[in-house]
Amino acid sequence: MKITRQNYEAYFIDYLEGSLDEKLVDQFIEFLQKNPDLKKELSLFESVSAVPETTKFSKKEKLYKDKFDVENEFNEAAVANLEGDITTREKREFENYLSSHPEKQNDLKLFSKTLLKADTSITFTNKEKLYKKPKGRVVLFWAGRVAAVLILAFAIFSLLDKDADTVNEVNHFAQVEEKNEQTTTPAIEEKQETESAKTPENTTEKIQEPEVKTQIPPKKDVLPKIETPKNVSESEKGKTELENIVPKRVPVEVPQKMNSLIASIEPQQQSAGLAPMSLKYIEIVTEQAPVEDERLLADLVKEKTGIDKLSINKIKKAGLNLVSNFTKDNLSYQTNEDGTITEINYDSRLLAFSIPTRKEEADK
Amino acid sequence: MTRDEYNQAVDDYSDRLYRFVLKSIKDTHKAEDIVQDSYEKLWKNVDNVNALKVKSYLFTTAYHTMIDRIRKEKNSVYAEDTSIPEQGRENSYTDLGEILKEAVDRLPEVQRMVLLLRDYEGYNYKEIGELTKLSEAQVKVYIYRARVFLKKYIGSIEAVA
Repeated sequence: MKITRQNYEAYFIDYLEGSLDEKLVDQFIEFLQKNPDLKKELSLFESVSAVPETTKFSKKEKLYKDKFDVENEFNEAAVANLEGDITTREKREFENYLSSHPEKQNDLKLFSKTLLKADTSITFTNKEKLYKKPKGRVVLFWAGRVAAVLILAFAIFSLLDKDADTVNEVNHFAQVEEKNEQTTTPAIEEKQETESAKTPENTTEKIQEPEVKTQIPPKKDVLPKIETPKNVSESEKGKTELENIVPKRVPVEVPQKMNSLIASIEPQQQSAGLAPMSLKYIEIVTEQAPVEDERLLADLVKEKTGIDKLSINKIKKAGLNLVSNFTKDNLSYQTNEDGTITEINYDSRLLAFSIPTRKEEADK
Repeated sequence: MTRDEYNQAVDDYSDRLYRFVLKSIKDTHKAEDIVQDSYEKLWKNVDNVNALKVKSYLFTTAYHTMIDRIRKEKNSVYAEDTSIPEQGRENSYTDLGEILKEAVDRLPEVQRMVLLLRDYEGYNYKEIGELTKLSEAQVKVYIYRARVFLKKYIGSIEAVA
């Protein structure tokens, strides 16, 4: 097709866009040379150039989709965040996402509500069934109970028994006292006569005569004190008793008969003879702890009564007589020529022993 | 483990164990029975159980006892009901606790138990895995699913209310 002044515009466009057929290029140049006015017009087309668009869409961010927009991703991140199982990087991304998507805060709150809290008012009420108690302890527990009951019973029994003993002794003293008031020395002499007849082997111990003598007179003095036992501890009264004792020893003194009395006093007779003294000491002994050592007892008697003038031996004997009363006359003692106690004997169904008081004397 | 430590474990864990079991199987008598059974097993193995791991021992025993019973009693009581309440259904929920309780009750047993171990006792994934003989990943998935279900359940109720 030939280029003419009627169709040249289409060829001009093709030329400017670079799409003019190569076969027509020579023909197109020849046409321009023949038509210089049209060549000038073509140069005007060349000066016009299209400027490319630089305008951008400013709201592209809203069009992007975050990974947390995927429901599963969000839920996983929310649960992980709730469980504390989220990495630092993920947490930062998730928080950024939440800040740019405030509508997601509601979902996050709902997740936080899924945390369960235990109801502490619900308790297991059958704990007693679960506890395990040691069997041995139960046995011990029952054994302890039985032992406690036995100890209590024994204590009550011993108290009652003591009361009974003291009552008997008191009654006994009262009878003796009546006898003494009526016939003081004859009654004792008769007893001593019968006693001496029973145990003639102990008649050699004359030293114990004063012992018995001293024990007999206090019957009258001590008996009133039984009624007021609280005054026993008063030392001054003890002294007055001592003063009263001395003058009463003289008329009762019967040396020969008293020997046999010491050797084989029968329980009732001995208690009758020694009871006044022993009652006095009962108060002392029961107030203090029971002391078996005769020395301690003697010291105690001495201290409580204030009897300084009496010899230790006498007090010992008095104490031994007292203990003899307690032990139902299972306790006896022996003295030497000086009146000193050389040996103490105890004989009961369960126990028997003999204690030499001084080594030298025991050796003799 | 000594007898004293055992008795101390009764004081320390019997309430918690009871709550866990009761919440899991929703039956008071069975829960008490399982707690007693767990402690009985503990007592039988008292010489072999470390005092420091007694809590794990108790919860492990109780968990597997429950699983065994659930498998035996498949009928109805423990049937899963994971449906979300219908929109517009009538209800009178006012307390989140009630909603949550109902939602927890609708969870599958394993999800529920794993979630209870996590929230009530504060066990981590690994500990729960050891306790339930599940892998850590499985535990994670169960907890994730449970929370998502609870969140949707609560959200649906709140949306209605």
